[in-house]
Amino acid sequence: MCGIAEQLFASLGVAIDPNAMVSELKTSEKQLLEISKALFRKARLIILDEPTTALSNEEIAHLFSILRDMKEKGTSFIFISHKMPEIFEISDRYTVLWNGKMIQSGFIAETTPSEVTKLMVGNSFYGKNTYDQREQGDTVLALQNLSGQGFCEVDLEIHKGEVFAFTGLQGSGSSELMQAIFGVIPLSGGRLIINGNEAAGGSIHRSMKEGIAMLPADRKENSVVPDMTLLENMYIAEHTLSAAQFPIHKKKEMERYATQKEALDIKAASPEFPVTSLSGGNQQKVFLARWLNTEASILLLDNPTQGIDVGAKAEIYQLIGQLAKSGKTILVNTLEIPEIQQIADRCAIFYEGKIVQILPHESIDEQTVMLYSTNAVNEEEVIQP
Amino acid sequence: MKTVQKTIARIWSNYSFAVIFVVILLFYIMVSNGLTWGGITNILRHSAVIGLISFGAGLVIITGEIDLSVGSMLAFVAGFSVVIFNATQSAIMTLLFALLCGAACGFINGVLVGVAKMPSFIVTLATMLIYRSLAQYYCQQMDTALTGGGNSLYKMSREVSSYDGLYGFGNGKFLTVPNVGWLLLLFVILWVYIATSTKFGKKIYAIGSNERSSYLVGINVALNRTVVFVLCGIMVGLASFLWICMNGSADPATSGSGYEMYAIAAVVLGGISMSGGKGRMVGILFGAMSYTIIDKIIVALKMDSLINDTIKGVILIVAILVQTAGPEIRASLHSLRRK
Repeated sequence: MCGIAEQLFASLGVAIDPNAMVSELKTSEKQLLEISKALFRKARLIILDEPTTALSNEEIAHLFSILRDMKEKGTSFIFISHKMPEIFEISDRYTVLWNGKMIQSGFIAETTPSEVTKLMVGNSFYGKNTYDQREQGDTVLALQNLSGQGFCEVDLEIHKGEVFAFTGLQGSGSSELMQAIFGVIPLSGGRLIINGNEAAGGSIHRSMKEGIAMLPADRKENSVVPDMTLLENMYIAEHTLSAAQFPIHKKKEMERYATQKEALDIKAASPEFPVTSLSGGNQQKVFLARWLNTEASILLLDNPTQGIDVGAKAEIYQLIGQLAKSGKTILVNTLEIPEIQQIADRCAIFYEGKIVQILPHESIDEQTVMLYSTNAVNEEEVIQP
Repeated sequence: MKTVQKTIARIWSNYSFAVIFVVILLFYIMVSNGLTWGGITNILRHSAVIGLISFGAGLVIITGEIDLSVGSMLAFVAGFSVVIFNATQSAIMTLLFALLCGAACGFINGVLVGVAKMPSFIVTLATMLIYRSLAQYYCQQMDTALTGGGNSLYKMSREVSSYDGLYGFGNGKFLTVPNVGWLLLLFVILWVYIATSTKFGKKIYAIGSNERSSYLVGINVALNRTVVFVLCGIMVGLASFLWICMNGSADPATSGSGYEMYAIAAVVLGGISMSGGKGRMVGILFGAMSYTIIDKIIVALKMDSLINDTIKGVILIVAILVQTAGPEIRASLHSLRRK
């Protein structure tokens, strides 16, 4: 059994130990495991529902070459996705669905990504670049030689009103640094200075009191409280800060809910509905509202548009721009470079736990970022005579 | 037709405990030829001790844990409360001791589960053995003046002046409803309020629903888990105090025996999920009363009281079967119809 699993993993180019516990795998490995299971069945029709949300670009390219292989041998695929580059790379035909209705079907060869996007979201968000420069204030967050598990010797200064992006390959330290600033994982060295005060780190409660908020990645595991309603999910973070006042004032919470619902355009019929009844994009807006309710001045967003459709993504980019304009400082960790181009003033690229480059907005493009993310920039220099 | 179906489904999923209670009550009315006010208040009286314990157990279960030691805790706390009564002759001291002793027992459970992160099933299984054993051991070893004259039963000494006051409290009525019944109702209101309208209550549900998300919004999971076990202990302490007021004594070998099971059953019948995170506290009241009524039905039918637990077990299975299998049966009926 183990041998067969190993063979399968080898033929798929997936680096998973068959004897490892599933609970210890990374999210991307879990997704690859699910895909391997589907491919193992040697079915004639395989339906892949958003298979690439947790995969890096390399892993995606590899998956596609496997799919092409199987296609030649006669397997059919239904590939569900909202990522245009992928759809146009791998598919022959398409069908656009919106709000439960079929919009249009056709051949990929006879259309363009922008056309399909238009069909998916209507004209309002298509093609808009939401980046807008704004005035920045003094340094609110200073990292001096900061080290922790997964990153080391990070030096950074971030200004009030800035939108600062982190990026890098999976596991390069960008997410770990963000979690350490919020206090999820402890600091092992260096100094963290928040609004002029030195912070010891390691405590989420203290970080929240300092005015920091973090919207974690993998919203299903880390943000959703599944048995609670939308309203309860929205007010729970603020309650950590106001715990000394025991009773819940339903009226105040409903007012806050109404404000946030309007500001973020959350589509929900009633605040008493279970949070699990909302779409991914709406859920993420609820969690963003959760943190905005704490009136934090520094927002850490870890992969905020993971698993969210194109329309909701654009809405979130606009929101980030608005929040920055109103004086909030925002750090965004993301793997999607077009996203960074839409929102960030500056971008730090991580490689193996260290920041290898900080790019200003004008210099951010796919190639340059990839060059630094994979450290190819240093390898090139070595090759040159 | 569809809307009727939907309404029934909604009532069942939100208020299953009320439906079960009404069914059992109707059955009782049938076999005892009518329901008198005295009958209703009697049910309240006999549900008081188990009801209070069930609220504590329910709180623990909402966080996704379990407390198997509540029955033994009752024996331990009740026994030693009798000793304190005989020694201090003060009702107030006895009450205070019962609450603090219960809190201490709960604290031991809480620290091991919340801080040391041990599985609650094992921890409370162990303390279940420890508490009852200590209750029995000290009954043997202690001065008979403290235990009220014997070595196998903790008896409250009748010579003490406050004895009549306490015994009167445990067995008396206020406005035709037993005092202990009033206490039970008071605590129902208190717990329902805490669970639905306080930040602490929401934190407890959140921990049971998704511990990781709770941690990431700044909830101190270890502290809250410990507090929940302490609160359970305090409820058991209060129940122990009621026990000795009602009975004037505590038998370390048999008092509270099996109560942990009845408490869990009351909680489950009350509609609270064993995996934590959901369920209404008010359901626990109905769950506890359902069990008392089953006892009375058995008596009214003149059946052997030994068959009691069989019937309770069967009802528990049926109730949970409908809760869990209900939606699935409905779904397969739907797909059958489509074919």
